[in-house]
Amino acid sequence: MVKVLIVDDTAFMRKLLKNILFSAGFDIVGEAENGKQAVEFYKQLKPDIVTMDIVMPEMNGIDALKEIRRLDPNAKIVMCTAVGQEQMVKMAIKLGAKGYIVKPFQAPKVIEELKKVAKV
Amino acid sequence: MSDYKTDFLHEAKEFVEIMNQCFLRLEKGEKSAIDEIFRAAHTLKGMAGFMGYKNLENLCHKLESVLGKFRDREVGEDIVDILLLSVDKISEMLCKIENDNCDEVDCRLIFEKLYEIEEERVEKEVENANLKIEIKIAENCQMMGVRGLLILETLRNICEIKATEPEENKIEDGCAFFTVYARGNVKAVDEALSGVSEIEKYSIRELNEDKKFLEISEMENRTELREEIREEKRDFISRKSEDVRVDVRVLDTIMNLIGELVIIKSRLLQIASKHNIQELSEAINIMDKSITNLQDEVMKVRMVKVERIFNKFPRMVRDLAKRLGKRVEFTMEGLDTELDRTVLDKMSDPIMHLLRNAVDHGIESPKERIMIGKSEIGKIKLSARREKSNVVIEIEDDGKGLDLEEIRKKAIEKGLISENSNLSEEEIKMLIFIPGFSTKDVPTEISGRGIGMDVVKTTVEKLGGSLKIVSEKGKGTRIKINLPPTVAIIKSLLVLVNDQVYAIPISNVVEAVYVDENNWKKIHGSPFLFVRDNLIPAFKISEIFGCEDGSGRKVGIIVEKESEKFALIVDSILDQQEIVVKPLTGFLSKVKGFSGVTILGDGTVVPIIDISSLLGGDKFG
Repeated sequence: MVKVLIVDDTAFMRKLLKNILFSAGFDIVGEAENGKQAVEFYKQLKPDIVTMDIVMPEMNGIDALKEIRRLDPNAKIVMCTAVGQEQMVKMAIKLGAKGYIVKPFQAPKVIEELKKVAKV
Repeated sequence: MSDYKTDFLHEAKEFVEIMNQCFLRLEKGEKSAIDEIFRAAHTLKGMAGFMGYKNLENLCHKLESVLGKFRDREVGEDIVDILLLSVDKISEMLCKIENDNCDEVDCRLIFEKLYEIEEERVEKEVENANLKIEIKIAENCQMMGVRGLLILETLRNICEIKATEPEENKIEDGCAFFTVYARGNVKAVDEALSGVSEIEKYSIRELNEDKKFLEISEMENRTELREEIREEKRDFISRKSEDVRVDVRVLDTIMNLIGELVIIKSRLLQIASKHNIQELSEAINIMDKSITNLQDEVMKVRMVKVERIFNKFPRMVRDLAKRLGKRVEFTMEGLDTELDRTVLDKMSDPIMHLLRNAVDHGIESPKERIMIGKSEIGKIKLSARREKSNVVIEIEDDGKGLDLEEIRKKAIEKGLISENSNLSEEEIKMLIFIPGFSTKDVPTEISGRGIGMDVVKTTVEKLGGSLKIVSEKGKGTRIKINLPPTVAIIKSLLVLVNDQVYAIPISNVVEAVYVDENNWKKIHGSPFLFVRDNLIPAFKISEIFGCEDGSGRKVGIIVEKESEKFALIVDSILDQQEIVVKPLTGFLSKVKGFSGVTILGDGTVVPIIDISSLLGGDKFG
């Protein structure tokens, strides 16, 4: 099973993503509520894939992405974004993000994106 | 599915027409045309996919992708040629679909050519690339630009991107279809791309060994796409329901019924005056207004813009000029002039013929033109306009014009006129409309042997129109066709013969003269009318129809048939009126001498004389 780390500062979003991914057979190994926590959890949990929100307190998604990619150049990170944040996502992709999902989430799209990135 | 087929074919043909026109605009350097063709090809592709016509879908797709390359580049004539050929192929497929319900047409050649166009561009631009990757992002993709960037970044990790089409920043702005030229390994690229979502399909081709290529296509979201097209289709059907297609015959029937109404109205009027009922007459007057309005409306419905048939001409002229090695600038004017549908449809072939003539016989070759100090590019203009109640269609060229002397010689040679016949310029020009006349010794594939010109004239005359040629040797030719806006109602002269009224279409009438001893001559037993030094064969209507002659001074109506004049002798002229033509039906339709009947306001049935069949045949010739 593909191990997923969900990173988002709102509990609601995390729950939503968890439900979608759970139904598709992903193994949610952890939830982080900011970038700093995400980096910590990544080191501990070694997930196959990370869903990364962009705007978060303490450390934002872009910085967390940089940090994680520094620790693991093969890390597979999918950005969570909303309409209007195109420039941020583009930057993230140039920094090595492997995919993106758009809020409000459409379950089939989210699942397809993660499956493709995880190559299952 | 079959109820969609008619809609599909109809719509598809419209798209083909659009593409044809746009290509010509493109050739003139109008860049905006590309987008339109692109859209047309794209929509057609979607429709074909929905209907399950695979070949058509593939061809449209190829066309679309080739066009994608020319978005911001010059398009040469030779390329437009190939693109036009593929549009022809599409037409061919549509024909096949219409008749055999399948689209299996051999398109290997055209595909090869389209590939060539694509390849050529590659060689020119991207030297070190060995892969050509075409990617189509799913239409329902969110943030297409981001997806494009993601694809580029993904590719960059495993191969070296040499160039993209359009440029990378355009892809980042959102571009559903793009091409990447890269140096790398097919397998790696394939694997990388299969790991990116929201790609509807992609193909990878190896470039260097030109014929051998590997194509991998993935049609994901295929069902979804079909669903979408189905939606579009439904939209299209409900949108279209605002205008209804009506058989022209239905309109004829309505027109006829209106005619009946007019007659009933006159009867009611008679009753009203007989019994002196004021109220009834008033009511009838109001009814009359409504009937007139109704008649006008129906006439309006029958009218269509000349654009409908004119639109196919630019392509024809272009192809023809190209084949003959001539350079022609073809312009059209007055495209929104309206004409009765029946008239317009019948004029399509004659106009085509005249245009062919203009290109083939009229316009000189570029060399010749330069030698005589004309611009290398010949001009042909097709225009339509309203002139009083008539519609005038003109075909004008700045070519060699008619050589009167040559026409005269030819006509004598062919025995059409005698050596010493004294003909006016006008008459000599009209000789080209005589059956069997042709100034070309060797018939060309295009203009034929000169059989069309007489057909052109007959068609125009049958429609109640007339034709005039203005031409000056070396300067050009202008052919002016005068058409009545409709055939359902014609202007005619009402004449009286032994108390019976006949109608003669005004378009046939040249003039009317009184008949007396001075101008009534019998030569070898045949009667002639002597009008201004000309002998015109005369026919008594009473003799033709075998009835008694009326008394009193006679009137000779001079009519024209195939450039020859005849005189019809009648008792008197009653009136000039617009009449509603009711065609003869059933066994009556074979009766010679009449084109139909009309009913006058008082209920009198009046036969309409058809000059060409009345005076046709050996009996009168």
